[in-house]
Amino acid sequence: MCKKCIKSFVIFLAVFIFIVSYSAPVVSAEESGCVSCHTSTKKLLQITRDIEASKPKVEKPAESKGEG
Amino acid sequence: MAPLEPYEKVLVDTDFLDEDEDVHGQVSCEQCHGGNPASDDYQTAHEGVVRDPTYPDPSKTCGECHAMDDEGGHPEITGQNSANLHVTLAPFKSKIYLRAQSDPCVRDKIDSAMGTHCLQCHSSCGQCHVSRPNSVEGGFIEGHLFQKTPPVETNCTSCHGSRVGKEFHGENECVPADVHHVEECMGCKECHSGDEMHGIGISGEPFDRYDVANRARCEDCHTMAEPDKAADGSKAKELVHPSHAIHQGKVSCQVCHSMPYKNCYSCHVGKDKSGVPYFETEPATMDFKIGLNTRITEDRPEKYVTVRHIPISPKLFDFYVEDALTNIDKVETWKFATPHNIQLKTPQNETCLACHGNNKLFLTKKDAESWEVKANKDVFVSLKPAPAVRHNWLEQPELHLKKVDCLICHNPALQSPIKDCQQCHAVDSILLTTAAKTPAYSLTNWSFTNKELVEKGDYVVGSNRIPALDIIGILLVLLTFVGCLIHGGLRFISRRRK
Repeated sequence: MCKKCIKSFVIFLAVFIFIVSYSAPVVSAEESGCVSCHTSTKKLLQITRDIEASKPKVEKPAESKGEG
Repeated sequence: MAPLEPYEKVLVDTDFLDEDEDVHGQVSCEQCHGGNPASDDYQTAHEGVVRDPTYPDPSKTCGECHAMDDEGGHPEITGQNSANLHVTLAPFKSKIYLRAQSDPCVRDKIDSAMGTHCLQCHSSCGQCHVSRPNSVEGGFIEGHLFQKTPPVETNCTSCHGSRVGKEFHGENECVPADVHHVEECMGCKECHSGDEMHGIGISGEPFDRYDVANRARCEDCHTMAEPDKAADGSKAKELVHPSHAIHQGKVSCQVCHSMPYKNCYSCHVGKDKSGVPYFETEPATMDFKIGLNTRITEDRPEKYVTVRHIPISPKLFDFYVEDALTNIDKVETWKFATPHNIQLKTPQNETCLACHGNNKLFLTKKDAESWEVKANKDVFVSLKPAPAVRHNWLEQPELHLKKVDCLICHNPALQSPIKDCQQCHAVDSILLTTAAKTPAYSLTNWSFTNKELVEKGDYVVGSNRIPALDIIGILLVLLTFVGCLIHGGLRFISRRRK
């Protein structure tokens, strides 16, 4: 194999490894349904509003008195 | 502390996904929390989700990495989780059990009541390092980024707020914040190490939370002064006041350096008409009480300690089961305490007599309700006679106590306090601090000997005199005798002539 080919291969390999390693977490994060929702304020606001609206209203203990 | 908005509680910071920011973000969500990440519908996605995967058993989550020794020097953090006092609250339960009936049915009901009310304040790995505790409605501390040291405001004082937090931050009316907080900007971690926070009881069945290993100790920073030793530049602050040598091992640090602190009374728990749990306590009082240490150990040898009234009440669980605490007199209700409002100067250490003889500082029967007298019998202090009475072997004890610094006679360098009058009432009185001693006797010397004492306003019999007056006095006495002799002689001669 000629020197030029080896050099090109090494450069290609280095660039490939750099791109793959750098972008891996982003790809995995974007693929996760958990992350896409839990990092979006807009989505969470909507979902938590829906959840709050559907939940029975929990009374605060009005009779509590003093310090715990 | 106001709770977070619902969306804020679960909003993940994208930095969490950056390995450089937090290595925990590299673990997939479902690996710890379960659920179905492939689903687009939030309801099905959350099926089987575990909100806090670190409670009660973190071995499958945190324990995957933190079970063994790590580089941070915290050996087997999760390995001892089942005995960690922050997680188990074991002393809480063991103290209630000591007061409770032994009937298993009653104990079951107590367990149920404690589970509803008291034991909700437990912590876990996640509730310290990732989110606020559940007892304050949870929510991420910082977008799920793991916090090596839990923040004071969102975590430490969210559970330890009513007493310790308010004391430390000076939130009680007319009581300043702890000097360590104000002067040194110290938080909790400066004294309470990770080892202590992850700590387990020293004994197999911890009696109370002070049983924890690696507890904070004042002596870790404040050491007794060694006159011959030069400062080594360490953070240790030497205790130079002679009172430390006198009281060391007999009186806890807080007895001299704590300000009044909060005492709570008469807690009882129940559920309202809607079934919502509630608790009620009597109004808290700010007070300062010195009691006897009921558990003297090698580690804590002091006889006198600060004690705080805890909110226990015979009717605590009456809503769930009546007369549950029939053995309430078995455990003290004025409990050993380490108030967190330390000051260098306090009302009780202003002078020796601000504490010695100041009976209202000491816990006595008068401070207890009738039902708790027996429980505190070993905590009550037997009051000693007033200092003036204890010093009645002195001439004018009141004057001595008022004028003489206690440390003159009770010098810690001496084997026993001075009881020899001659040591003060003499020409070379020990009260003198300067080299200027007695001037030579002379007819022309009209000034006091040992002027230093007179200038301080203290005339000390036997030590202060005016030499010229001495000589005049002696001359007057001699002249009187001489006059009598002359008079007698002349009378004798005149009689003989008659």
